[in-house]
Amino acid sequence: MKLQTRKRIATLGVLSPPVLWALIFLFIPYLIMFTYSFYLKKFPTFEPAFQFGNYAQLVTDAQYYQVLFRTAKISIMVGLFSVLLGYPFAYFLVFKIKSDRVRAMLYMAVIVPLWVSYLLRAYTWKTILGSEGILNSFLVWSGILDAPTDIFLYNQFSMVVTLTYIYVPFIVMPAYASLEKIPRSLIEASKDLGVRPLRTFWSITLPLSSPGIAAGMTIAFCLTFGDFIAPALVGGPNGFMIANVLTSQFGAALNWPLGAALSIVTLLIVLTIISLSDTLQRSGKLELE
Amino acid sequence: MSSRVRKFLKSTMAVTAASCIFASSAWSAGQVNLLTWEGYADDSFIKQFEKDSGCDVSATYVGSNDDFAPKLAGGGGVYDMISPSIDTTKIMIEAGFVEAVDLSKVARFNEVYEKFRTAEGINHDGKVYGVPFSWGSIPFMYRTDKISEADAPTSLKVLWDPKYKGKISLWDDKSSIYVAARVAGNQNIFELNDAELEAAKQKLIEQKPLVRKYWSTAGELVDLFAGGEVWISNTWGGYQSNLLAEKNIPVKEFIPEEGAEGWMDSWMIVKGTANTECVYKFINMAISEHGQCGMSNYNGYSSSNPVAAKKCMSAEQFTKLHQDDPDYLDSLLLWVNLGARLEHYTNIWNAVKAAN
Amino acid sequence: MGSIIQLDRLRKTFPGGVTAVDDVSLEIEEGEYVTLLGPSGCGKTTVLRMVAGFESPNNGSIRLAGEDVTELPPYRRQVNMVFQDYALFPHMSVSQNVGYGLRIAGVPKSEIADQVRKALDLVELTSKADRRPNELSGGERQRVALSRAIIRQPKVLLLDEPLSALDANLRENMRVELRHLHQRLGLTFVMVTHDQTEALVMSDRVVVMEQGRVAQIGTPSDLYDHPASTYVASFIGVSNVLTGHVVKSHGEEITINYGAEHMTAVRNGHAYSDGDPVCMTIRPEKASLLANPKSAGKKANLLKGTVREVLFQGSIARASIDLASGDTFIVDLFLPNTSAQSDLPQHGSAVTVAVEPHNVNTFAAEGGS
Repeated sequence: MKLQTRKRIATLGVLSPPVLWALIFLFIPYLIMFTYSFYLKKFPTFEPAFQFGNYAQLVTDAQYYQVLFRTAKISIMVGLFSVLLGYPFAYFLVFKIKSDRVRAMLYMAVIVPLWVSYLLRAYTWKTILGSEGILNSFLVWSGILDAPTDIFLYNQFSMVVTLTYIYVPFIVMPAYASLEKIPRSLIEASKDLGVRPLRTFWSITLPLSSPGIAAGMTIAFCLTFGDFIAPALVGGPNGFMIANVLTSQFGAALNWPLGAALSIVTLLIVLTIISLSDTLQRSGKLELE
Repeated sequence: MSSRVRKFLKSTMAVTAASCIFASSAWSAGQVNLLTWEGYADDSFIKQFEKDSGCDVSATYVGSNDDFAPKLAGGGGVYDMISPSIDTTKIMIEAGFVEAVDLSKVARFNEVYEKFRTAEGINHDGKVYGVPFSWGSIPFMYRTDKISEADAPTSLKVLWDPKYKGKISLWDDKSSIYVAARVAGNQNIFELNDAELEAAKQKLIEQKPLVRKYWSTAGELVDLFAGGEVWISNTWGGYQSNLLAEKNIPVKEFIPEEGAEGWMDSWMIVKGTANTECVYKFINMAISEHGQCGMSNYNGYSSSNPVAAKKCMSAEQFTKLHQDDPDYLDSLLLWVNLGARLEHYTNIWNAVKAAN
Repeated sequence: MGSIIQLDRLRKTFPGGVTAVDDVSLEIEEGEYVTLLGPSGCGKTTVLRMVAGFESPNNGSIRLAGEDVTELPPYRRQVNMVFQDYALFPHMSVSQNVGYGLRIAGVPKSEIADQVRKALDLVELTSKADRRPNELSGGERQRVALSRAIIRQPKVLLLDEPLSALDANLRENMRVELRHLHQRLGLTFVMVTHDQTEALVMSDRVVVMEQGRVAQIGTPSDLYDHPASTYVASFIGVSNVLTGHVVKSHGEEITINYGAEHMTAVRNGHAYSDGDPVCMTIRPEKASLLANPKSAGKKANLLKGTVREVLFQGSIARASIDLASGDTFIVDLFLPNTSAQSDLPQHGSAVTVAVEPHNVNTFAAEGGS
């Protein structure tokens, strides 16, 4: 009995810092935000209330699901393109590079940009994609175009390009880890059983590295979903994303209740995606044990 | 505790204590923290003020009048002064973000244009809450090397001209609604009803394919013009065109047929500021020759104190800035407080940006 | 029966500069069970991987059923492999693993099911067809790997250390099972192992490898009774190795000068000239200890010595004898049921070691005299 009590106290002692941390930095802020989402907007600010008007507004006013839909579309594209660029690179690193030093160097080359400011990296794309930017200068110089085109910058294309560039490392890292974990003998066994390299990739390598792809794609998707800088820097008139609406509601509109309601909805969407991906990753991980 | 750890803690505490002392000594020497527009805290005239007054000036910039309230609602203690435009001053007063100005400490207040001094936006319950600083218009600006003299735009309709597809920009602000309303023939841009707002929204959505980007800071618009991304946009009259001229980018401002909005900025004192002394030093500097011409020379805006302006400006500059032309000011659609309608305007503008 | 595998002067040097396989030539008959035996790093696995197609040789050629497959990728070779770690696909069930090759080859579903059932029957795993590999025991996984490798009836089945991951008991059972499977299927088995017992028990022929080269090829009893080098002699079982000089050859017998003694050995195909340095290897169980030298056979070699120690090992006792020449000689003493432990020679007692000439294996001493 006494021992049990002591054990319980010890468990609490070990657990309490993380629990406290989560409580202070996660649970309480979310709770506050949740509370705000029922407040009432009253010029010039807002007042405490308990009503569902803010949620109702999100449903009835088309602009919110238009932006949510657009944000989801861009996030999916960024996730997809990040995988299309990052996964082959990780594959190349793991299976094609024979020298450990070259592999480590190339891996670092992908990771190093993460230490460079996000803003700077996004800005770089402005100078590349602009009407008088590097890409246009090259196309005109080489004679492919007669005059500079403005189709590269200030639209969803440039947002997807910039965000993809920024989030590719987040794909490469987990994809690399999951590919490296696949025993080479599995790939040899497949070939040994008469299966050509491409089919081997589809039947063995790809399914076994899918947890890494799922993890990376989830990161890219969720980070894009909450991004408000790319729309401001390289987005055009159709670049408005959900995080920009949030900034606007917590800022210019001074409508914290509506902003809070929208935050809760966004949070739910992101949490759903994360838990789906988590389920997928867990089932995949079990297999390689 | 090992002696090394103790030593480390001791030295850390010493450093912390030292920096606290340093910080508080800087505090006592005087400082003033501004939440203001780009250009209102420019070194060209603020450096001298810091030297003369012993007050350190630091500034945080806003891109829109709608940025003041959220920054102040987030909690006080950070800013001492703000410089909102006349459509926003009342909101600051009603929300209790600012305190009344002690006019006994502002000797030259009566030199300010009467129209500004007595403006409803800064007068509340018999007290004055703002000291007018500058005024100007929101004209339009185009690149003269891209749009020829023969095509020189005169009407806002040019902003819906497919000829300029991808070369048009607008301020990312409810001001776009004012533009769209005027194009639709509504001059009562501050009192639009729901139907008129909806019409303005449709008009702006219709324009979206022609728009390169909505600009949100002065610097961004300058970059857009300089980089050849945009040929025509509304602008903070005098400011961005000056910056572009410095970069040898040929631009010209014009007041469209449908009229231009006008604005007037006032310095307001954030409630509970601890730096009262420096705040009043700053206000007095702002409406003196030094502050008025300092602001006008750098920003290209007009001055609020014609007495001071007359002394420090050339006759040419005085005329160019319409300092002697009260009719000009009357011709502008001076921004007014939208009150509770602000939310609708903001939502309409958000809906435009959300639309596909 | 013709030869199914012909390896001709295979050489493999890895990018680091290590020559793993050096001039290996080998012929394997159809239906044979051949084992490549050697310590780790001797090149045996590399030979196997070259036959499978996972490594390509720098030199030499590989023929499979008469066809040159040296340049063919693994998926075009009619050989299948049982991997050391089994390499079962973790995301597939047992039956999916076994039917994998057939499924990708486009074999009709019903036929796959049929063949998978047969293949699993063979290893008695039908009841676990729907399990995932991680739900199986080590032995079961091994059997899945086997049935997956034989389902396409390869010309040759390659086994890379197939028993090394199993515990000792299971390993002994599986030795027998693999041997039976070989007999039942009639396929050619090529196995790699570092375990000499495994090699002796299971194989028709053993290829002993040393530093990338073939040290000796022969049946298990060949290798045991007539090792061709000290390396083979010491790698397989325990041997006493004595060196001497040929004094005289007469017919099938040769006389060898060893220390102060003369020993007689059987030539066994070797040709020696007088004075050649020669190695003699004698298995401990093929020598005996005599209390009375007179009781030895007429031709027996007799070596005098003293007992240093005797280790009781159950069915035998192993005695170490210090010979007059200075060498130590090991003799295994069989303990028939009548014998008591007290009959064992005592430490320090003088004994005579007797070896029949046909139990003295000889080969030319390496390095000359």
